Amino acid sequence: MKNTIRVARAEQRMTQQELSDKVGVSRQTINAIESGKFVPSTVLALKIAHTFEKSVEEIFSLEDED
Amino acid sequence: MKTWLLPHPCKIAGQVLLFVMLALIFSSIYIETALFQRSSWLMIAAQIAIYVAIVMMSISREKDEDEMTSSLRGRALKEVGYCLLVIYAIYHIVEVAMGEQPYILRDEELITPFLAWVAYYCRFEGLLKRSRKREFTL
Repeated sequence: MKNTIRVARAEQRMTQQELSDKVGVSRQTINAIESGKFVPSTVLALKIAHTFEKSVEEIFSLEDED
Repeated sequence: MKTWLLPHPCKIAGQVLLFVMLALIFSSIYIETALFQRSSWLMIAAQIAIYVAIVMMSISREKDEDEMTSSLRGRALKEVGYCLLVIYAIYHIVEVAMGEQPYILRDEELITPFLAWVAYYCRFEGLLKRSRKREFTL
């Protein structure tokens, strides 16, 4: 699964730490999600999308091999 | 699972304890005294302390315990538990084939790999049934 969290953060000039504080996880988790090492739960994905005021589909998308 | 974990300082304490005990056991190889003999109370205590340290390290929270660490913890438990159960099952089958009495007939074995398999199967079937039942709930 791929995501545009890094782009969304850059648009809002948000650091990983700030995003992690807003959604209630560690900075390492945000880093792992951005680099594709960890797939977030539905709740966490919704929280992240809500933080950026976007839909989940705008932030997360399936890759061909998924 | 979070509620079953020890606080994070316990992990640090476990690491320190492990390091000290390993240093003690390592130094016993080179220092010839009665205290460092394998059967001495100090060495027995050191081995017990290593067990305690590893358990403490394993069941302590991370500094930032969140969804990812819980997921990784569950995955590690699942993989290791599954491998151990398979190894025990193979070992048990080989044992019985070579003439040992099966676990299920031994009175003194309260917690056996066989019981672990039964518990796992029952738990998994229970979870499956519960998940299917919800599909038909209005």
